[in-house]
Amino acid sequence: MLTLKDIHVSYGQAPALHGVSLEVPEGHIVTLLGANGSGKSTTIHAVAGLLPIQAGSIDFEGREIAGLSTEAIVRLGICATPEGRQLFGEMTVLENLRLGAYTQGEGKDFDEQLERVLTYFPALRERLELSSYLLSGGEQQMLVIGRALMARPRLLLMDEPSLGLAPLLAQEMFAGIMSLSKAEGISVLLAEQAADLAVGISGYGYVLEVGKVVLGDTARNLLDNEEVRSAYLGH
Amino acid sequence: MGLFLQQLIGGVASGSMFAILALGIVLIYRSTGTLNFAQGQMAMFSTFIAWSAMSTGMGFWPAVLLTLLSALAMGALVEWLIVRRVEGTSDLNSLIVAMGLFLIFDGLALYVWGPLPKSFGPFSFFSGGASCVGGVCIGRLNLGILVVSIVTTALLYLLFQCTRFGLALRATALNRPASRLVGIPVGRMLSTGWGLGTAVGAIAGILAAQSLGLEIRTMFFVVLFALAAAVLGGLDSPVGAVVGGLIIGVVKNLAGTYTPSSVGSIDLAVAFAVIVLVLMVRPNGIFGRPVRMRV
Amino acid sequence: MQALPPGLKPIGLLLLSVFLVVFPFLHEWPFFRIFLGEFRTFNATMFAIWLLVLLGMNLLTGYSGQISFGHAALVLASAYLTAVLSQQYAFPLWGAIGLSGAATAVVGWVTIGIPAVRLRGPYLAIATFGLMLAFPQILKMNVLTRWTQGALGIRGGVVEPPGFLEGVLDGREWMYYVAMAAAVAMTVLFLNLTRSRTGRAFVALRDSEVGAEQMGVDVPRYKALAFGVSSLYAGIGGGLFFAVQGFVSPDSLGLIDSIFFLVAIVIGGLGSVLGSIIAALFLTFQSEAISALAGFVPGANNLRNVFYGASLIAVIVLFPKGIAGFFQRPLWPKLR
Ligand SMILES: Nc1ncnc2c1ncn2[C@@H]1O[C@H](COP(=O)(O)OP(=O)(O)O)[C@@H](O)[C@H]1O
Ligand SMILES: [Mg+2]
Repeated sequence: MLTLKDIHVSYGQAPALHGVSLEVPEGHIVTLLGANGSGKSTTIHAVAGLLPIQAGSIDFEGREIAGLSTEAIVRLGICATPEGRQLFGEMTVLENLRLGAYTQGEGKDFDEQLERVLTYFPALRERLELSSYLLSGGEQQMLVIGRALMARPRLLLMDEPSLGLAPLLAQEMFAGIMSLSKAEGISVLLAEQAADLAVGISGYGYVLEVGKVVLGDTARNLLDNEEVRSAYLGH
Repeated sequence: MGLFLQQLIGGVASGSMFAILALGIVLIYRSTGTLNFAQGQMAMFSTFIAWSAMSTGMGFWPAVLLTLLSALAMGALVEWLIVRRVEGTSDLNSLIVAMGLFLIFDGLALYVWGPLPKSFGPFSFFSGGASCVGGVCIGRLNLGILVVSIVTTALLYLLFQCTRFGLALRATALNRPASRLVGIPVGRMLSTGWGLGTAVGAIAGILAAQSLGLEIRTMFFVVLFALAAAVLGGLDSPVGAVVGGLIIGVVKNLAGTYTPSSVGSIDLAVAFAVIVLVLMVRPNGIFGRPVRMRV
Repeated sequence: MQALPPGLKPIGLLLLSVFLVVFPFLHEWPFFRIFLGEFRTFNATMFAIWLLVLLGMNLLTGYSGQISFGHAALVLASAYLTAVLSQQYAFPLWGAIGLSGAATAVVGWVTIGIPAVRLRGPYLAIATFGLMLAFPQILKMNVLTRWTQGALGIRGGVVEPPGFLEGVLDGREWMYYVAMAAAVAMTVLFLNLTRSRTGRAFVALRDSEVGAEQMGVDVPRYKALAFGVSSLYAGIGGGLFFAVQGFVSPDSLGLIDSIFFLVAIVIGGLGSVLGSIIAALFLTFQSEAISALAGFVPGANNLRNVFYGASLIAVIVLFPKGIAGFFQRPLWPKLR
């Protein structure tokens, strides 16, 4: 579904990614593991069209999407939940969700989609008129995912969704992501640093080090790999 | 008391004009973070367009419509062509560009329309007898200004609060990366912000010309009151701009009425004093968000 | 001047000094008479004054990154102070100028510079813009007419050269020497300042505010100080302005002059003494140049501001170092 081939990205003169290749097959969850500063966010931003790439290609369902605007990429069905959530804090939960559906228009499909999203995140239902900065951390993360779902994506790019969540809450969230992906047939590229849980729900994973993919393997093999375990999985 | 009420109403009317000029400044500031010091000269330029349209025999309202559309286009074009070049570089650069725009519109107007004042109104909507309620009267000019300002503010409120487009405009002002991520064409929103701000400025210009006449410097000083209003309300708050405008209008009128003639006229000094006072006491104004520290 | 080989530098400076000294008399020589009239002496005097003002403005904007749309108000204030002191309180003119310069410096430092440090974004620009628009009105206020004489302004006498120079110099030539001496002295001071400890802080500020902070520069303190020093230059310039013009009124300088100061230093070159010199030349000759241009291009006079505005934007976008940036090596010795 999504194939990155040898992409290079730099900030001004400073290179951040040198040759990242990876693949997210249709309907799968793929984890991108890497320490802080290894280039996970940069990869996600490049796919989402927030950063230009200097070389390489980004293929989405047989189409080259490198160079497209973020807007066009969202319309093709790729949505990102950014690191640090990036809600429209002073707006209400409902307004955030409406903005999520910006590319979809606001016909009666909107109400339908809103219902669907709210069945995944029932906690948001009672908070629809609340300013989103008043939500708890877990609720905010739900809202970010919900906002992305409003655009009916087929591929979700998630940048450290567990950041700042209590372990139990994070566990719950990953379970939610897995069932969501199953039920809606959404593929997910999941960037995480401390990632037992993430790898646990994935079929495949890549390890990123200083802007390069150093390892790509099935989740099972990654979980068995001593080096990976000690570096990223916390045992 | 009668005089006081009278002056209060006059102040509210002229304040409503400052309010919408300030509103234009705030819209532009929220959209690209540029404090548009050229707002007044751009408004003056737009008003000259209305004058030109009318001097070809066009009626007042069609001319206003034409002016608003061209102001919208002009503002959007300025953002797209010029302001975007220095976006996000530094406050200094964007202020210098604003001054460049000031000079460009000032000079263009002088070149096209010359230095002589033009007669521009008051048009029928703004002239006629006073309306009185319980002994307190409001002149037709003030009434007209008030009505136009209220309608303008109401329309903008509807646009921003009740439409999808307005929602996207607000989102862009709040958080640009997030706006891009939900698929909002951010560049177009920034241009639109400038366009709207310029169009609102054009309305203020047309209103100002009803009482002040039309020439290159018509808006020179009016801008100061609008800036004071925007600072008082909080530079990024549209509601603040309106409230600030009304307060400035009233304060200006009352100060004008109750300052003994031995002191002389002090309206500009009052506006300056308001700016200084707000900056000392409450730099974010009444409704402004605290300035986020940049890292 | 740094571009010159080391051996030539003293010679260059000597030639420059000789040129500045003989300038008022050059027009009496056959060759120079073609393009120098007596009026040029007045031009050169104004150049010296603008150089003072623009050095100060450049310190503020080019080094400390602050913007003031009210610089002309500072110049005007000092011109008024000089006028009042010398005409109404019988201060000797030179004393009045010095006092006005000092007073302007203190006012700029304490009442603008220090509070301004707290302000972020466009607030300082708004405040100074407000000052600029309100100041002429304040000068016209009836309560102040005792000193300011309202809209009429204050007239000064013709400045005569001191006794021992009588017959050698006329008033205009004498003013030229005074203003030029002040400009040269304060340019040298400026250069020395930037080589001192304080100056290194300013240079660090110019290069990067964040960098300066990391180097341990007390950024707020130096930003406030920059406002003070900048005001000193504006103040001396203002005092001389009154002496040279022999007149000052509330409308002698206004918003448009403040904007032109900005245009001048941006086009000349921010953060550079050479840039300030180019800026002062620009300010001195711009109106003449535009009038000359109007002889060929009809309407050029009216298009002046369009041209300046467009240049301002173009320079900021394309050559942020202005004209001075084209001179390969900086006028500054590299400071480290
Ligand atoms: N906006 C930026 N400007 C310059 N360098 C950046 C920027 N964002 C990230 N980097 C650099 O790019 C590299 C990768 O960063 P990032 O993609 O954020 O890593 P991760 O998300 O894995 O923590 C780091 O070295 C970081 O310092
Ligand atoms: Mg990251």
